[in-house]
Amino acid sequence: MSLIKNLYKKYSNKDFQFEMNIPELELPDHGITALWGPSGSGKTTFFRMLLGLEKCDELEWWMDQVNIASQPIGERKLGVVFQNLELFPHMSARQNLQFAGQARGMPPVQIQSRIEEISAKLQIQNILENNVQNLSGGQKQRVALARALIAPVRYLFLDEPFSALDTATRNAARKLVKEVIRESNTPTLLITHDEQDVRELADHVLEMDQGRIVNSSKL
Amino acid sequence: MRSNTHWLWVLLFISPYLVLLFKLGEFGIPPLPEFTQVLKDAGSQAFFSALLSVTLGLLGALSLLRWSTQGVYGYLRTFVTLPSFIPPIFVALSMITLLEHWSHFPFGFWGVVLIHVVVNGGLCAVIIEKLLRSKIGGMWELALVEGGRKWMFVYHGVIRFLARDLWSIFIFVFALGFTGFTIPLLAGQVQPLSLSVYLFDKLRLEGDWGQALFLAVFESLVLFAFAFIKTHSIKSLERRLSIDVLRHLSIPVFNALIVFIAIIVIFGDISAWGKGAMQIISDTSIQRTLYAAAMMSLAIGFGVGILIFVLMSLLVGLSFRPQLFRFFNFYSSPSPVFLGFVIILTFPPSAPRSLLLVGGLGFLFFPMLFRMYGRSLVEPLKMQIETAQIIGASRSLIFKKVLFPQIVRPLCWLSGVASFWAAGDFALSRILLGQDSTLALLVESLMGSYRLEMATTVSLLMLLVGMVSLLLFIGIGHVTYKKLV
Repeated sequence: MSLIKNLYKKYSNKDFQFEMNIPELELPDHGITALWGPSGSGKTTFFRMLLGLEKCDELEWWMDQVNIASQPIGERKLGVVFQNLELFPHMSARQNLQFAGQARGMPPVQIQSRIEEISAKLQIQNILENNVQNLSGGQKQRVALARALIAPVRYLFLDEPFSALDTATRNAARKLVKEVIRESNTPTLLITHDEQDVRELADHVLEMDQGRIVNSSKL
Repeated sequence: MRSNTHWLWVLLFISPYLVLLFKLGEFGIPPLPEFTQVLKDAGSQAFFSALLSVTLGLLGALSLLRWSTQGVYGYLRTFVTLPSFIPPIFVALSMITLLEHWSHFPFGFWGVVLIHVVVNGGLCAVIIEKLLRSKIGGMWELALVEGGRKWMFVYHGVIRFLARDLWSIFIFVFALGFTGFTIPLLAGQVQPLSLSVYLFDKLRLEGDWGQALFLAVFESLVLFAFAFIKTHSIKSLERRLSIDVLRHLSIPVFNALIVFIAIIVIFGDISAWGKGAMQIISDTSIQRTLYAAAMMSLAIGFGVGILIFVLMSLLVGLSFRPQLFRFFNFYSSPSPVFLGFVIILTFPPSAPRSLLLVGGLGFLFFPMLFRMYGRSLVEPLKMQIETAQIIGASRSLIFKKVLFPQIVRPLCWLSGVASFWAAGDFALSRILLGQDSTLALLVESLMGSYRLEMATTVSLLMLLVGMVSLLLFIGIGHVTYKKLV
């Protein structure tokens, strides 16, 4: 288990008030954990705070005796696939992956072999040279996942990763993502409001409502 | 990307005002009757300039509704805003030569008002037209169904409903007129018709630095006050109407008017071009001056373009913080005369004036360009930057691989625009450089000796040099993008 402490955030203006208050939470350090809850429950804030994109000075996130939250964003060794994927649009799929490898400080030879390996797993070998803007939704999503997993990461974050896909592609994508994550043995936090994502992918479920974890269960 | 260098930007851009703080002991107050007379004249000039510009803008906006948002509309919109985009000295000269050709130009109060209206009318039209399209569509649809008459709706649904927006535009034009320099200097007479001209007279004619200091501070306070008054967000309604419905509200006759004004500005007195060219060909002494001035204008334009490119790259790419948008939204650039004054006070006389001019023009243009385009450069890339940070990319790697390839073309375009303006700058050049050093200064001295035809030809060359510089930057942007991507 990894342990999260003092996750606190408050927004308020005259029309809107929101408070997230999670004094302590055990976050599984294996398998896929789904963070599930209605829109506006605070899932994205939770996710962004753990990634280090939202400020929270008191936050602690202990994993293997390291407080990840005290490290700069780039040194936390986290992987992420955002809802709209955020592939670099001026690059090809291969260049996106090379960038991630370079950012992680991998030697060029290792980057190349890792690209071949992960692109085979995610079935994107034949589109590696294409500009990412010319790829289909499903292809883009697989490239984004490959980019997140190009180097070993402590934790993988998936933010509504299937929401932009049509039903047929979504089912296939779920299956593939599950397979790749299992194989790479990367603990994953999946943010979703889709119950089917939870049923088909999750090993653990954290249910969030109004900025609090209201239920934690193992499936 | 997080860093604390944004404070350096704030410090840099408020530095001219800080320089004045150290000189507070040297302040001198201008004679009160003279000062109040200038305020009265400049205020009246600015009031009529703003009133007539907004009125013309409103009528122009109603006529622009005739066109759909694509095709002809795009060209028309660009065309009518040209007078406010090209250097004011060019517009002033076009108006003067043309009216002098027909009868005579009314130098003085009404001459200044006339040129201000021509410069700002088209821009006001485009701004108001955007407001009309986004704000009043639904009401007009309802009024149309209920049988409302056009002019009744123009009064109740447009003028009264958009009163706050029109007021903001009025204040914007008023501030330009009240503190403007080039147009009141060229088209005015002995009595100063703007604060900047009054300040300039104090410096150049009377050599009274104490009073000039007072006026510089006063002018800055006035500009800040105007910026504060006009800060009023323009919200658009989510619901947009079909163009066909808005067409019924258009008043096509004013199409001809705004297009006519733009044509006058751009082409001026066409017969003067040829005559001016012949005079230049037969005058070898002016040819040498012209060549040197053209080279200087090109160098200054290119220098300012490079400076803007570097500043924008540094700010957008390396030290961007959202607070900087708030700062630049509130920040009001000093007037060119004030800035020129600060530069003269700060740097020794031996400092190369052309380099100081490049720095000064960069300083004047940068806040405006950043305010207008900075957000659109950064916002779409925000999530990509966050993703790259999480991946572990360093700031320099993100800049080199993610940001720069995506912003290089718009950055080059902005730099080109700045270089275009710089190549035709008159105001700051007039303070920092000697006579005839640039094409704009040469135009002024030709106008002063009443060689209007030659001045017209030189001003055309000035536009050409600006265009060369602009196109050069656009070309560099394209080539760099192709190489990087």
